[in-house]
Amino acid sequence: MKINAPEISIKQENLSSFDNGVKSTCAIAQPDRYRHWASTPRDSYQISRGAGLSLSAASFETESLSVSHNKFNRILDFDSATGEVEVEAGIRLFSLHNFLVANGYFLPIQPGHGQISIGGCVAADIHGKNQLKDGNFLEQVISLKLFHPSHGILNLSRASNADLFFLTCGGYGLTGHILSVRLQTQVLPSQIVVTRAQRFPDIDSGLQLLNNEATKADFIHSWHDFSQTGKKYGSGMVFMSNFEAIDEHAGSPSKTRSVVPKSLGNRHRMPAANLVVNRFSISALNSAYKRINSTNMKGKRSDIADALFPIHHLQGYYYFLGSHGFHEYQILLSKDVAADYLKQLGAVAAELKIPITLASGKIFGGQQNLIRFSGEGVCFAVNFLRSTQANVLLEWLDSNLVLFGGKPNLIKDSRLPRQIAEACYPEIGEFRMKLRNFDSKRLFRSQMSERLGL
Amino acid sequence: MKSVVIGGTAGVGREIATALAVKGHSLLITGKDMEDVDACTMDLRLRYGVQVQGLAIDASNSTIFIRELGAAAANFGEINYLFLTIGASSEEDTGDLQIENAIAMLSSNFLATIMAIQIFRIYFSKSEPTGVIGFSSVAAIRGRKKNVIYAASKRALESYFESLELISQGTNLSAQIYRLGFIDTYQAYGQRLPFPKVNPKKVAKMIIGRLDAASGISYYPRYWQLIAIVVKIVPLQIFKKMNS
Repeated sequence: MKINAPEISIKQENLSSFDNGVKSTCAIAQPDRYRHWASTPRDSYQISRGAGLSLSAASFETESLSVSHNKFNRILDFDSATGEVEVEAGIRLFSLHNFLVANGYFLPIQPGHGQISIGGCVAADIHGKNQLKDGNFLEQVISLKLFHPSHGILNLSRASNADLFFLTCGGYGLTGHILSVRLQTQVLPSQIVVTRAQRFPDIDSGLQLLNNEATKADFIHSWHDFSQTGKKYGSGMVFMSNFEAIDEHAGSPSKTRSVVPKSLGNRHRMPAANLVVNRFSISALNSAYKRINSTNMKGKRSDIADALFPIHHLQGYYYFLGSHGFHEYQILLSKDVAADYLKQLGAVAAELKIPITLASGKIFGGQQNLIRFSGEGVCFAVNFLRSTQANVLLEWLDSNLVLFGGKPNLIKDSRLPRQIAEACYPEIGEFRMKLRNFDSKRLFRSQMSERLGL
Repeated sequence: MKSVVIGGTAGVGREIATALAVKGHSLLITGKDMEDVDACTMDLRLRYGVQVQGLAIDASNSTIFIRELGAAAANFGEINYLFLTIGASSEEDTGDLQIENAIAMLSSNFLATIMAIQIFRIYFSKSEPTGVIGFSSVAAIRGRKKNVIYAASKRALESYFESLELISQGTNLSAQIYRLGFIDTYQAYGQRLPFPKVNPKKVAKMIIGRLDAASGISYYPRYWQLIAIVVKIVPLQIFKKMNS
């Protein structure tokens, strides 16, 4: 379908998914007044674009108009007694965080980088630092305003348009443009977080430790060294963070440092990374990482911003992954099969000589429905560079994920085939049906939605 | 300090309002649509803890504009700075603009602007620094085939500021007007332009940093001053070819 939007300024831009797996020249509009929403096309495909940091090309498609929310980044309301805050969907996490912390509140469920937009968090129903304890982003959403060219502005909440509310939270932007979101924030217990690390010798003990500690920590994740072979494969550390008790350190800073992260893009990446990234370099880096983090064994005090947005200090990692791009494969497996799957993954990756640059786990809880990445089990992510051999590994990962009864995180993978998503998400058909019932023209389309047939 | 930003809900105006709020100014901001005005006033109040009043008025209708701005000015009281970041342009402004559209454009770019100055003149502080900051365009350098009324309005505005500078001599009121080059706003979005577009945030920072500068006309970016000289001295025959 040709983009027909004569009343709104448009430019062509080369866009790519954060993993550099999908690149397209797309039309983008950047409205800066509310009346511009009424000028968005009624009969052309379109999709909202927040920070443009999605790994899965969720904010663009060659035949869709990407509508940027960059100028809609304001705080619309705040109740200092209840902690309820209403913001425009384009506001970045770090900007909201700075405001909330100054007022004694915070959002417990946030992804690892502050440049991500609130609208993106709602659309992907992201998880935070301890999903088992906090749930997904949906838990924080009280209500939202959605604009669809055929329906106008709709107010959605659990009490009003509930079906559409749940379709939109975790609907990957396919129900319309999220204009604003009302969120329930939490009282910030302390501006300081104390992180303790505990080592484990192998994958089994690591997952066991992660599972045992998950209910006790405010934030928790495991880090694994997949460059090790034999019994040491998957050894690593569990990082457990808790808010510092108020009286623990009388000298706690009274003012939290405001966060202004460097922009996180995918344009400045190391050329020919595959010449540098190999089993030996990754092994050396992992050893260095373990050494550096050994100081955490006794407890390391850090600012809440550093705990919520750890990627601010790891942006060099993405440069290191190279201009050719990388794969992030994040899955949810039941606890009784997770270790087996990950051991087999290691064996296949070693056979294919693919260095795993990152391996990290979390514990999930709750119910899974529609196409949101949630439910009970072990959430595990691995990174590796793009290559011909990597495609072989991905085929193995996909087919075995189905066999092991796991789920891939749709927002983390720009190439995940439709049949794998369909095999892993039993309610994907229901999602499609509900979406078409609301929007018979299926106006909102992204590369991700087209690839997955949503 | 108290400041007024006419057209403070988008582009350079929004950035100026934000920069002023950061400095603790109490603000009156206006915009065409209530939704944008509400969003900006709430954001500035909540983030910076300053007093912000909002007013939705359409500068293309000078009669209503004058009446409603007059009432808001009386309510807001004494001020220090008045920023006039309103303006309108149209691709159809090539000499054949319909009369009502031409009047609206004239109002947005000239009439409403000078009326706002007239309204606020009696409210400028007598004891603290004060200033009127207007915005012209490089389009006003010389007559042209595109943006005909827009360019003429901006040139008229420059003339008004020259007069204002003379009138205000010996007082604490400065009258600054900026000839802006290409700014990265909604109006310029997607346009292929011969010179780079400047971030509105950068423009706002520069303007707020020069509030105590003398009256007069300034270019931003400054290299436009050189371009203006060239455009002015180019012989008419060559200029016609450049415009065709």
